[in-house]
Parts: sequence; C-alpha cells; structure tokens
Amino acid sequence: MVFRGQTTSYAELHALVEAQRGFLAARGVAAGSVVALRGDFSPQTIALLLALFEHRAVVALIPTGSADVAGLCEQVAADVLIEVRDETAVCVPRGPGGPYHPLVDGLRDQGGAGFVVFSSGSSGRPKPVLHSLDRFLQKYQAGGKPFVTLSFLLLDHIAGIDTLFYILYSGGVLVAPEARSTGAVCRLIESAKVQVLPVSPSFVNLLWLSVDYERHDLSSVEIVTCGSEPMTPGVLDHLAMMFPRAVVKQKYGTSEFGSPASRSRGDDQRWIRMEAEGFETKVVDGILYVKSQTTMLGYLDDGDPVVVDGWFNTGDRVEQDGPWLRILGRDSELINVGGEKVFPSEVEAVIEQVAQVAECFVYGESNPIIGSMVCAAVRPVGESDLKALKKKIKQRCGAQLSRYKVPAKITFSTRPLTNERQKKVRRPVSS
Amino acid sequence: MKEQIFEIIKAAIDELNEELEYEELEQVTPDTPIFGGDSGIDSLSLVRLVVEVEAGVSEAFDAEVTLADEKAMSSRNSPYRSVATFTDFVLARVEGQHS
Repeated sequence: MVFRGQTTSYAELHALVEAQRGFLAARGVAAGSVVALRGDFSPQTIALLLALFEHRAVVALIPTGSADVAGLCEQVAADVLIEVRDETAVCVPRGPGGPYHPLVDGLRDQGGAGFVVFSSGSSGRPKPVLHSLDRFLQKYQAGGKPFVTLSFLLLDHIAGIDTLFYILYSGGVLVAPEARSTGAVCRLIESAKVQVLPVSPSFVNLLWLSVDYERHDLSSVEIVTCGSEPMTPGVLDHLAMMFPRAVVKQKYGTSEFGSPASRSRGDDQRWIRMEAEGFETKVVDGILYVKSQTTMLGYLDDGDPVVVDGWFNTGDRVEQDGPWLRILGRDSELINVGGEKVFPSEVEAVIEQVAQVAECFVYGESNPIIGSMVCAAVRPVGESDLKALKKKIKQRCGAQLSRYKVPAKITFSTRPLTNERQKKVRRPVSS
Repeated sequence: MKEQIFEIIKAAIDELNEELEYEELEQVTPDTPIFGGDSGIDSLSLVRLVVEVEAGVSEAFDAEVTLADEKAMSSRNSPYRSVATFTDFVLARVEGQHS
C-alpha cells in the first residue's frame, strides 16, 4: 500500500492489524460489538477495519463528510465510535450500545462479522444498509489480477469497500490519495504508476477542465472504471482523449448489493452486461431487479423488507437490449450531485428553519460540471433583504448539511410555489 | 464591458471566499487561477461561482447567459482556468446574446 509517499507491505500491514487488535483490547471493545468507524483509506484505518472484522464486529462506516456523526451512531446503536485522524485512532465510547436491530442480533448470534454503509434514504434520512461480511466476501475468493489501483472512491462507500477487498484478495497494490483534487490524483498516478483508476463521471469532467492530465504522465493507466452516475457521451470522449491506451469500464452498483463484474459493449460503452457468478437481473416495467449473493441482509430501520424472494428492487430505470442494459437513473426527485445523492425534502427542512422563509422548494437542475446541482426556490416573508437572506440560507445549510447538499442556486419568488413544485415534480431531473 | 464583467467575477469570488478563506483568492487579479492545478477552488465551489456570475451578468446586462454547458466543457481549453480566461469567455457569451 502506498500512502503519503510511504510503502506499507502486506507483512507490515499484518503487524499493524496486530497492533490495532491490542488497541481494541485496551479500549475494552468486546467481540461482536457494533463499532462506528470514521476514516479515509490509510494503513491505520485499513488495519483497524481488518482487526475489527477479525473481532467479529459489525462496523458502521461513517461518511467522513457527514455533518451528523452522532445521529448515524444512534441509528445503528453503536457501542463505540473510532475516528482515525492523521494516522491516530481515537476511541469514543458511546455508552452501552443497543438494543440492536434484529438483523444485527441475528448476525451476532451466528458469530458473523458485518459492515454497514449508509445509503440515501427516500426521506433524506440516511438508511443504514447491513451486509454480512462472509456473504459479501464470497465473490472475492477467486482472487484476480494484482493491479496497482488508486482508491479514489471513499472507504465509506460500497465502491470503496469493493476496491479494498479486490486489492487485498488479488494481492495488488493500493495507492491511497490524501486529497482528491485533480492535481493530487494526477501526481499520484504518475509517481505510483497506477494501472487501475476507479472514478466518477464528474471527476472525469473535472480532470478534463483542470487540464492537469497534460501536466503529468498518465500512460500507466490500463483500466478506468466509472460508476455512481449515468455515463454521458461527453465523458466517454474525454476519457478517450486523456487515457488513449486505457480500457473504459462502466460499473453499476448500489449500497445494497455492491458492484458486480460487468463489461461494456464495444460499440457503445453505456450498455453494460453484468454476468457475475451468483448474480441475476430482471427488468419489470422498465425497473431493474437484482438477485445476488452479495445482497444486503437489510436496512436497519423500521421499514418493510425491500428484498422479496431474494430480488432487490433497485428503483433504477433501465433500457434493455437482449443481455445488455443501459442505466437511465432513478425515477424520483433525487438529485445526483457528482454521484452523491440528495433528497430535496432534507434540504427544504433546513431552509424552512430560517425565520424569513415562508416557503421553499428544492429541485435539481442538470449541470455539465457535476451532473446535477441543488437549486432552491424561496418565497420570503414580506419584504426581506434578499441578499442578506440568501447569505443566511447558505450559512444555515452550510452548518447543517454536507457541502454537496448546499444549494448552488437560490431564487426568490413572491408568489406561492405550488405551481413551480408541480411543474418540476412532473418533470423529474434525469440524474 | 470587459471591465464590468471582471468586477462581477471578482465580486462572486470575494463572496465565495468569505466562506473558503483561501489566501490566494484574497486579491483577485486577472491572473488568479480558478480551477485546475493545485491552486483554486473545487468543483462545488466552481458550480456556485458560475451560478453567481450568471446572476450578476443577468442583472448588469439584462442578458440570460449559460456559463456551463456541453460546449464550454468540450472546448480544448477550459474557460475556468483563470479569472482572465473566464472573463473572456463570459464576454464572448454576453456579446453572443446581444448580436
């Protein structure tokens, strides 16, 4: 593993895992605990994660950018929160955890380890998605080609977890970025001779705009995988210009079942075929259903089970051509900001806390830089100073929401927003 | 008009920087880098900046311009490299509106 210019060998990683095991024992973290973990790809975070898995813990991966860590810990009834900052782990007990969700209890009764990632819930409240580690790991057992891979996607995303396990099981090299700016990523690709680059379409756009690809030698890249947002022809063109030697693979995945092996159709890479072992798809009324051995155990909430007879409804609209599928995106009000999902209701709730706001309506507008941007239409109370109000709304959102959820555009209207809402809702944003 | 557009962009960067507090954005000049390399802002800030400038232009010139679209994205040289390139780009778009 390469991090901050230092290389950590597998033997050294093993020693770090031992040390982290001692750390867990010293902090009194019992086997089978529910542990909230917050940290980005680094030797210590990965060692800690592996030590926790060995300890048969259920690890909730807290998004590093989350504005509500306490709330997420509460949702999973975590016993303890461990944060890794600057390669030092800090353990914060959260009192006796539990009672756990029945699914967590079931997993613990079997002595199984698990992990939780947070998916954007339909109300805007993140949904904890519980996976059984043993089930999820099955697909990696066969190993694969050992590549030098840059872990661009975050550890708290299912795609980041996927990157980690693929590398560990294939004995590959993980190159962990400290920053994800285009310049930093390009420098790392050049210095570590990165072969596999998993990115999002938005990052491809940014890389193109930054022109950083011209300042560095990126010729080591053999495979670019692209996921989390629908692919556009523009993105494919940019990739072909910047990585002429690389094979481009579109990936499709969700927090609920990970991302299966897939291949892209030669004539149009937006069409993909997923044909992993133990992975089936079906399309009902244009919506994609998936049956997979890597499917989650379930959501840790009170809602109804969404997996029926093993089939999980992805909610994604697809086009079908024989075995080939083209993902069109979510048929909902959900706004996809560079791969991060935003539910309007969540942002509306924050804006409506501002005293001078009578009513507001949040929607997505397509934006070529980041896919979609968050916009808010606001009806102020009486005669307000709009400039000051706009600032206040942005400040309030900035304090309470992750950055990508803060509206980029705020417009004001003196008329009720009901019409606006209907118009926008009938024409959902293609994310 | 170019001077005015520069001022609109400068005001938008100043406003953005009240939050970001980047040292290199404190004194905005035509050479100030906006996006790319190691200096400058990130993508979310870029989107906000573009939106602010669109609003500023609309107010000043009564012209509805789009400053981020497929055409801007596909040009060989990004219009968002520096304040100077962005100023030229906005100017071209505004003039395109009026002609």
